[in-house]
Amino acid sequence: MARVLLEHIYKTYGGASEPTVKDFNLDIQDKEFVVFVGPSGCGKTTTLRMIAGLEDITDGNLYIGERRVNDVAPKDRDIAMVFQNYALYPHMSVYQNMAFGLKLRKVPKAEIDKRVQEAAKILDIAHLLDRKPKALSGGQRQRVALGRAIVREPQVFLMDEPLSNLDAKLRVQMRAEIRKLHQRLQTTMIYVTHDQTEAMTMGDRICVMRDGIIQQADTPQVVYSQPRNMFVAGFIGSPAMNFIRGEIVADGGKFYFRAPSISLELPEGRHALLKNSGIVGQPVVLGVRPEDLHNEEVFMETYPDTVINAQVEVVEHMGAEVYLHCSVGSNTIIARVNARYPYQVGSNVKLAVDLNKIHIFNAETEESIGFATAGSKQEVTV
Amino acid sequence: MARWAKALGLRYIFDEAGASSEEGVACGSWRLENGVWQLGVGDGVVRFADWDGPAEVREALTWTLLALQPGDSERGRHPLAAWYDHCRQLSLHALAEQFSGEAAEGAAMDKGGPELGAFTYPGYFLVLSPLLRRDEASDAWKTARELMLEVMRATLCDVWNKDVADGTQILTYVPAQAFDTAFDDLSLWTSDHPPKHADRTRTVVDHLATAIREEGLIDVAISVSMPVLEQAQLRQAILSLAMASRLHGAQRVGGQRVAVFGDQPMAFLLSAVPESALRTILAMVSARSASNPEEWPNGWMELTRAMMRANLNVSEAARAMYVHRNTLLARIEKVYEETGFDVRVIDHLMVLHLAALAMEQQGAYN
Repeated sequence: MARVLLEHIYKTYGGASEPTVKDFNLDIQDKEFVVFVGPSGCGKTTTLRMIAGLEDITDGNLYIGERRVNDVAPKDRDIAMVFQNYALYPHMSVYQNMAFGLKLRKVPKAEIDKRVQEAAKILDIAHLLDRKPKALSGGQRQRVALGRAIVREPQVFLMDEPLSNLDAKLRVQMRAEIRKLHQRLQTTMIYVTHDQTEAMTMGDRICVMRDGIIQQADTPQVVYSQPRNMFVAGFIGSPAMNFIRGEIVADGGKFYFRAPSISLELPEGRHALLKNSGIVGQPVVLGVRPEDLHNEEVFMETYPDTVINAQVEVVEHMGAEVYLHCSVGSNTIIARVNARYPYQVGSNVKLAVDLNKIHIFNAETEESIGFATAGSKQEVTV
Repeated sequence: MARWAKALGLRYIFDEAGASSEEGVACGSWRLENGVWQLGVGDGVVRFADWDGPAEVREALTWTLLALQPGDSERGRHPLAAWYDHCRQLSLHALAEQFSGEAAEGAAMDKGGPELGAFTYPGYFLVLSPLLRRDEASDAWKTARELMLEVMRATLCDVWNKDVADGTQILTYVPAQAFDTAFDDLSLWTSDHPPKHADRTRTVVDHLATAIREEGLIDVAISVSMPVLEQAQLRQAILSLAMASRLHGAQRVGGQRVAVFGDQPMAFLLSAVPESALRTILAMVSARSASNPEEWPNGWMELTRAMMRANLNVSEAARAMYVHRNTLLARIEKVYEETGFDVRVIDHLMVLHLAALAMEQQGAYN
């Protein structure tokens, strides 16, 4: 078991003018499950490959346990990697598939047998050990692939989008399986995905990346509720956070967010923050998550000043809830509302904004001013 | 060798393998021992007394001695391995010239001995090169070689293999039947369309590269030849293998590089275009926007690729890029504003695709 420490890591490929990974700093604790998440080309896989030793580190220090491993060959780093396209051998049984790597490493036969049996038990595939890959379902194959990594008893597991090839239902099931596996093995795991739902549901901590730079590394709850910038706010959450461009206006001792067709009085508890952040009179972006737009009567009656008028453009029925795609002035927003009300395309709806949950970003830097973290007394139960 | 010796005033001794040295020198490799340069030639070592030849001359000597004698199996070099070594030294243009003229000369390889006739046809040549890190220990190649062969056997059963001259690649021959069996047993196909022969081969080779990476934490580049249908195509197939290998650069994905001969006609076409013509193509494209492609919005190439792969379907491309459809539409508008090309229009998309390929190729020249 081991801590993984990345200190000022840079990766620049030959011939490239810009680093692919820039000043990456992260301290991954022993037994922690950390997820690297971000869009294609953000550097998450490159970072994982540097940890594995498959890529040279251009600059910085990488430690696994107490050992600096920048110059240690991949096979000597005591890690195991699981990839999206897991590899099984067609002519071998599940047992032989799991034992293959150990056999290559000249591990004694008795030890191989012990490890394979243990891993099979953990993964609930002991009854499949005599089968060939052809006779396995997709989920069973994925378990065998995990088993091949487990039998190596590595200090650190690295997983590069291991569920991307599975269908949606199986992916949800395997997410839980891997999470349980982590709890059972108590090993450090680093997991790469582009899927924010996977990141949110699996990681102790998630590390959101863009353009080779860590945007935010924190628990899923914090990343969701207190995104550091517009990129994190927009990337995490589905449907994505609504963004409305406008400005902060001071008027008669109160502060308002104003945009075409929208005027919202901002809570008193945030006045000091607004004054200190120096954004009054400046262009800003208001961020509000779809679930923080309410159409319940009680909410609108309690907070009549937070109501905005919108026109329904698209109604997406999701079962228990409905996604309303609405236009508000020149902006398009999505509200996630209860399915018990009828909604019609083209009709007008009133939506109340939960001002406790809004985010305000500097329009130029796209950084959050910390609005969501500042205190407020407004509370409502619906 | 005699002509080289005369031209350079060399004195040399040929030692058969095991005759005097405790440890052999890999075929095609040089070693300086006690001030004497030694060249491994497969079945022994050539020692050059009182000669400190520069690296370029030693390299030239290597290829003269080893590679330009593809039919010379007397030294223990397999004719196909030697032919591949020779092909690797040719320019892409020369490879193409020989490739197009080879069909008529195919029978030449028939003289190579009975082993050539033992191949099962159809089949493919593969060459595997581990992408080792600069600082990896000197035994890394040996370890990688063993691992690659073990994984190949585990995936495709026994395959014919030979080391190539510089000892960093393995040349293998795999019957198409072995690919088909592995493909069917692993049920690797996820598309709705029935797989073609090339799909089966490509998919299994991808799987093989993943297995090597997972098993040994080694990235590997694998090139695949054209299908060999009969013995008379062996030389031509090796030429196609060398061409696939040469066009590898642009194919790298996550450290994994698989290049199949038939997959690369566009890359080949671009590589055949002179640099001046590439510059002109880019100038013609940028004339529309009056700005250099270097100044175009970030991500235009990714956007172009995504739209190509999604058959101009914006929603599909957005899914593939993990962005919201509206975000992608905004990017498409931005690219149109800056470049004058709308990627939703097939003619425009093709021009941008060509520009992207040309820029990549220009990067390769630089």
